[in-house]
Parts: sequence; structure tokens; C-alpha cells
Amino acid sequence: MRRVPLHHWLATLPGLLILLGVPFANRVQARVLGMPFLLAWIVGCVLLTSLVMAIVGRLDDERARRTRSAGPPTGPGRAP
Amino acid sequence: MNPALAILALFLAISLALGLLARRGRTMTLEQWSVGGRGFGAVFVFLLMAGEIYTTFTFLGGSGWAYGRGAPAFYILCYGAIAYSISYFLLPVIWRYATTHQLHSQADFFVRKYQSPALGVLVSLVGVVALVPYLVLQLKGLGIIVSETSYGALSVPAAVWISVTALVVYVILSGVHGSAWTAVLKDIMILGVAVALGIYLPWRYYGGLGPMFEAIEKAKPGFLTLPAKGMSVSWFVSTVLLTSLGFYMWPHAFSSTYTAKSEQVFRKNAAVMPLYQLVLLFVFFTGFAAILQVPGLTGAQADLSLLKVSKLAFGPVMVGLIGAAGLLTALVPGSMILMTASTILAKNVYRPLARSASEETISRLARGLVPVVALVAVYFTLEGGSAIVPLLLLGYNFVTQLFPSLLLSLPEKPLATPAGVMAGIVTGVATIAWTSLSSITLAKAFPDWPPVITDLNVGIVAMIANIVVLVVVSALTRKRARVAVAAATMVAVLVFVPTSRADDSNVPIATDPFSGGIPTTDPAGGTVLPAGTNVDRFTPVFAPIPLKNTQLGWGLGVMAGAIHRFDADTTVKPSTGVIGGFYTENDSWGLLAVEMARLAHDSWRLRGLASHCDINYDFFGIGEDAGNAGQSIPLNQTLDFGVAAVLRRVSTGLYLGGALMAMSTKVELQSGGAPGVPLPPGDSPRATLVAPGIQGELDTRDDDYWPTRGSLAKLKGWFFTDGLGSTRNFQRYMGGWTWYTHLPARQLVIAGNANLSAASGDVPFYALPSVGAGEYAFRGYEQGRYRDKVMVCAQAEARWHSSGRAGATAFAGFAQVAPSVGDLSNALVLPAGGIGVRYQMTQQYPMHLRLDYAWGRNEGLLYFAVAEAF
Repeated sequence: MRRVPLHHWLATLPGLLILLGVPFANRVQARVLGMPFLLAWIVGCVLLTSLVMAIVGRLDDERARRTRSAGPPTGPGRAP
Repeated sequence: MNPALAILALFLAISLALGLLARRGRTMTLEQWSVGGRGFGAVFVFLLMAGEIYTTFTFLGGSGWAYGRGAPAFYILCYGAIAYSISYFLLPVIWRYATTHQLHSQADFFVRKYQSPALGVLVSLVGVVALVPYLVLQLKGLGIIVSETSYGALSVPAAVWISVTALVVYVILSGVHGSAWTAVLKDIMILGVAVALGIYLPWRYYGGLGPMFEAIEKAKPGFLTLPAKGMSVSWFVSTVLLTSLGFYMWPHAFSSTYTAKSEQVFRKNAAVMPLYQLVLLFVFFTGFAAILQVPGLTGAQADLSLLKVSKLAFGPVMVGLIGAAGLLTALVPGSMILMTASTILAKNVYRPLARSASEETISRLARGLVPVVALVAVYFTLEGGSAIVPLLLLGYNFVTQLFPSLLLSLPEKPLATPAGVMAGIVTGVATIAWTSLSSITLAKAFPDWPPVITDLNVGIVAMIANIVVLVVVSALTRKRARVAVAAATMVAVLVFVPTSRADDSNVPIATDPFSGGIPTTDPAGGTVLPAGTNVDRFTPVFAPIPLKNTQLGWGLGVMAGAIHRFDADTTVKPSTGVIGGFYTENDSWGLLAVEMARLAHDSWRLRGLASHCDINYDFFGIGEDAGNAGQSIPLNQTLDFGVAAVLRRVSTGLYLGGALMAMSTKVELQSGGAPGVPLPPGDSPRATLVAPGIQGELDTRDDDYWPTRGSLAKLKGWFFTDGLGSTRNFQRYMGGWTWYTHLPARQLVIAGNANLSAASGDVPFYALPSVGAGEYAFRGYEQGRYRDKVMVCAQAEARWHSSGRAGATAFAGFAQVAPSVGDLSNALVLPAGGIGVRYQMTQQYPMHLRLDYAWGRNEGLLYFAVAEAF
């Protein structure tokens, strides 16, 4: 199996924060911007998803560029 | 006509016009009609995908659930985010494959990957079945919007008929281009309206978000957090998980990925879509704002909350605009769904059945089916009574059943077989259909189980059934299914750990040292290897062995030792020597050392065993009535014992010899226990037992770990006598015969076993034969629950092994206990059966990890061990 690049694991973070975090975030206090904590937690996770996926995308682009300039013409671990 | 309705009509006209305009200058081939010629950039794909995802469901269902249920509605915000992070990795893979092979629909993907047109038909049907509730909810939304904004001038049925006609017309005329253009309009509208309402309403009625939530919390305490039961955290997490996996399994969502120009599109969308998702937040605010302003909407009525509160707050013109936004959120996805459903019916259901049909015919049929599908949806819309969110969840549960098959298809060679995938999907879908038709929930089926388990979305159960069947059938229909089986074993373990709690009372592996239990000296392990095979004389083995015993519970054993050979000849079975220990969850533990040697070309068999155990288990009493009653007392027993045996070959496969056993034991009652189960006097606390024995065996098996032919017959007698220092005088006999055969392909082995154990004299209870204990471990009854002076048992097992490391089994049999041989004819028959999976631990020797689940008269029991039961 192809090795999973380290930064791809980053993409699992928001999902884990939702699936594993909700049991602990299930409360009303403290309010964030007037919202109950549970809702605020979820909104935070959604925003984080966007941020994290942008970062992962950027890192992948960079890696693709590096690989292209470094050598094999087939590209960054992708089918030609 | 009031102004609101006029605005609504205007927007309907605009969306129709857009659909027709989009069509100009293009020839409507199937390729153009269904995937837009594969030329859509990030913006259009984004809009198309948003178009399907932000639907009436979000607009009316999202606010309706916030209004009616509170915090559980937040799940809608979560699953999208998770699905988008998955999409970053998943969609490019799908897109590349679809583009290379010029695919149109989701079913095409499965057909191509698994090389199975039949699978395509099945996937299509599942997709269409799931799309119907999705379409129904759009029409329901349309009906609500149109009739509400008409201020009662139009009835819901009239509104539904008008909208569905418009929908059908523009789908037929312009296909996906119509959807994309209307999507642009729709997205501007929904964004504007949702955000405006979500900010304005809380401010207007409460003076801000904070005061609004405080007022709700005061009026309905606990409404803003997940409840402890029902739609609890457990429901929430399982639902988010399932729906995020199902997100792209919708046929229209799946095939809209095909419209992308490059895979870069998906990478961008993964970052942008979650932000767009936040529109939902404002939809929730609107629903929450409605709670105290338009109270009293219950059940499916809650879906009206957004429009009701809008009508309260605004004049008809504004209500008309809000209604128009709602109209578009139903039209765009509605058209997409209609188109997808009719395309797959024509292309993936009809075509495989009528192979000679031309492209032209299929294309015409696809368009012709649009009104048909629409009519079916209209029927359910006007007949059914469900609220919007449960409808979508039902659809989600259906499509999610496709996820395991998709995942296993992604490697270059699919990890499952078409038959396995189809069987899995059918099982999953049937489970969903059955649970929703009979409205069975886990909480109703298992009222005693903790809410953490019973609140799980029932789709999880269907998913597990799906995966198990997928793996077993794949394994049965294919040689190399190793990965899939290994994955399933892990899933099965994960699942059964919580569910196996049902039997956490329990008996020891070693209460019955006389015929086996843990440290039976008999499975003199060995595998014959072809002559000249280059093997080490000494193969070290070290294994942590998880185990699940019916009395001791889950535990971990550690075993270290070697499979070794005294002869250089590899055609002789090897010897085994190990030391090990175990500890289980009920605080039982033990240490043991075993050597099973074969000397001088297997003409001598020498066996030795020494062990110390300290085990906790339940004693149920003696006799079948005691077993049926199921009352028990908890005992603690320590044992120190040793056994040595010498057998000599007298002719091919026949060995005869003698043995000596000595043990010292102490049995004590722990506190508690049921009245009416007395510990037999004299059996407690201490005893020293010594016995000489005779043994004989006829062994023609080809392998000791995984025999495929031959048989093994055994006879043993032990004679406990005070002459050698034993404190009790009694005799113990055991006879058993196991027989193996295989189908020509050798992949399927049939094993049969019959055995009888008997005791006579002054027998302590722990030396009595008991069902489930001993070397032919009968599965399905708690060890030691049924014990008496005589026990008979017969069982059969079908064992399948892949050419890799995986295997699966199914078994059934019965046992009886009685005070004497003559009483057997009147004894209760104890039937049991079950299924299991196997994983071969070493490449060289077919020794397996064994996971079995067996059902007996009283309960179902899980077994996890190393080596076969018989």
C-alpha cells in the first residue's frame, strides 16, 4: 500500500473533534456569541474543517510542485 | 392572486426560462443531458453539488427540526463537514476512473469496477428506492411553501400538482444544464433569505441570539443539549457517522462529480463547502426564533415553522420572496433527483435487460420516465404523513448501504466479489426496509440494554449485517479475500465486545481438566509438510491471544514457545512446547507449561502438562433441571495439577498408552448467589486427586490444526483411588470420534464429532462431565451450566478456507446430560448452532484465530480462541 503522507492525517482532525468531542461538548454553558456551547462547538468544527482542508490542499500542491521539479514525470503519486 | 403568490409564479417562470435558455446551442445527447459534457469548472460543480445538498430539507426540515427537536437538529451541520473532508480523498479517485471509462451514472461505476451488470441493476434500484423519499420530501416542501404563501388560496395537493408539472417540463427539456443555471439563482436566493431571516428574527423578537437562547432554555430546559435517552449523544454520533458516509452515495451526488473538468475542483470544494454549510446555522436560528412566537406546531407540522414565523414578521411581498427561495431549494434538487432516477432506470436497469436497445431509445426512455417517477413521488407525497427529516434519514440509510462496496472497489482490483457485494447490499437494504416497515428500534427490541447501545441509529445494525454478509459471501466466492475478511473480523470484534455483555456471568476453562478445558494435553499439534520442504527444525511462536470464555469473559493469554522437530523428516508431524499465562476480566488467571512431543518418527508420543489456575465462575447445580433454572452461585477455585502421558504406536495411526494425573484443588463459595443451589457437601474446600489412566487413540488425520480428511478416535479412562493418595474414589471415562472430509477443491471441509463422557463413584462436582467444557467444546451453552454423570454430544461443522489466511465456518449440534446412561432417552435435548470466522496466524501452519457466535436454548454466546473447537 502507498504510504499516506503525514499531513493527510490532519484531515481527520475535525471529524474526530465532532465524533469524539460531542459527548463532552453536550452542554449549554459557556455561551459563545450567544449560542449554546454544543452548537458553538459544532460551528467551530465546521470552520476548522474548511481551514484544515485548505491547508491540506496547499501542502499537496506544494508537494506536487516539488515532485515535479525533482524528477519523475508521472507526478505526485498519481496515475499519469 | 396575492402578491406573495405572484412573486412565486414569477420565479417559477424565471427558472423555466433559464432552463430553456441553457439548452440553446447544444445537441442533447445523453452525455450532454446527464453530465454536461464533463466541462464544468469549480463554480458550476460547486453549485450543482450545493444544489443537491441544500434542499428543502435544509430550508424547511432544518428549521422544522430546530423548532421541534432542538439540539438533535445540529447533526445536519456536522455530517456535511465530515463528508467534505472525506470527499477530498474519495472524489478524485472516483472522478479519474469515471472519466477514463466515460461513465454516466453511479451504477456504471459499480458495473465497471466489479464487471457485473447485475450489480449495476441492484445499485440502480437501491438508488431509485432511496431517491423516492428524497423526491417526496422536496414535493412536500413545495406543497407547504406554495400553499402557505398563497395564504390558503391553494390547497397542498393543488400546489404539489402545479410544482411537479413545472419540474417535469424543464427536466425533460434541458437536463443538467437547466439545473445548473437555476442553481445559480437558487443559491443567491437561499443565501440572502436564510442569512437575513436568521439574523433578523432573533433580533426582532428577542433582541439578539443570546437572549433568544436564554429564553428557549428557560421555557424548555434541556432543549439545547442532546437528551440522555432517545436522540442522545449515541444517536447523534452514529447518525453523523452514517450520513457522512452516505453523503456521496446518493446517485445524483455521485454522478454530479462526473461533471467536473479536473480533479482540482474537488480539492477546492473540500475547503469551501464547509463554509457554505454554515448557511444552515441561520436556518436553525430561524427555527429557534419560531419556538416561542408560533408555538404549538407538532410532528410533521413543525416543518411549517419557518414560513409561519415569516408570515408573522413580514408582509406578503417579503413572504413571497422567502417562498420563492424555498421553491428554488425544492426545484433544483428535485430536477436533479428526477433526472438521475430516470437516467439510471433507463440506462442501468432497462438496458442490461434489453441489450439491443439503441442509444437513441435509451435517451428517449430516460426522458419518458421523468413523469413516471414524478407521479410515483406525488402519490407518496399526498399519501404519506412523515416529517421531512425522517424521510431523508430513511433515504440516507438506504444509500449508505452502498458505501462498503464502493470502498472495497477502490483498489485496482476490488477486494470483494460481485456476489459478495450484492448479498451485502441486499442484506443491508432489507434490514432497513424491515426495521422501518415494522418500526422496530433497538430500544424496543432490547429494552434492558443501556441507551448508549439502543439509541444507536438502526442503520448501524444494517451496515454491520451488510459488511458481515459481504465478507462471508465474498470469501466463499473468491480465493483471495484476505483483506476483506481481516477487516470484517475487526469490525465483528468491535461490535461483539459491547453486545456480548449479555453473558457476563460465567465457567472456567479448567473446571474440567479431565477431558480438556484449557490445558488438554491432546491436540498434539502438527502439520505434515511435503518431503524435502525446507523448514526450520525450530519455529519459535509468540502470541498474545485474546480469548472470550463463556464463564471467564474476555481475557488475554500470552503464549511463548516453539513448534519443533525431533526428526529431520518433514513428513512427520512436528512437536509443540509452550509456556503461557492468561488473565480475564472476572479476575481469573492461570499459568501453564505444555510439551507435546513426537519421537522416533512419531512412534512415541510423550505429553506433559503442569498448571496453576485461580478462577472465578458460577456453579449452577447438577442435572438438567438445575441448568434450565439458570440459578447460580459464584465460586472461586484454585488448582495445581500435572498430567503426563506416554503413548506407543502399535500400528499405523493407532496409539495406546498410560497416563498419570495429580491435582490439588480448593473450592470456595464467594459471597452472594441464588438460594437453592447448594454446594455439594464434601466438595469444598480442599481435595487431592490422583489417578492413573489408560488412553488409546486412532489418528488418521492429515493435519492436527486444520484437518481436511481422516478421523480421530479417542478413549480415556481415569481411576481416582485412595491407594495413590487421592481423597476421593471415582472413575471418569471419555470416548469421542471426530471425522473429517473435504470437497474436491479442498476449500470446504466438513467435520463431524460425537462424544460421550461419564463418571461413576464419589465424583466431586467439578469432575462431572459438563456441556461446553472439555475438548470437543460444544458451543452455545455456558460452560458448566448443564452437568451430570453422563453427557452425550454430537455436532457437525462446515469449514471453509480461502487460499489466503481467511476462513469461515457454520456449525450445529446437540448435547444431553443425565444421571445415568439409561436416563438419556428421557433427557432434554440441548440444541445449538452458530457461525464463525477464522484467521490463519502463521503462514506455515494452519493454526487459526477463531471467532464464533453460537445460539443455544437459553442465549447466544461469543467465543474467541485459538485453534478449532474439535
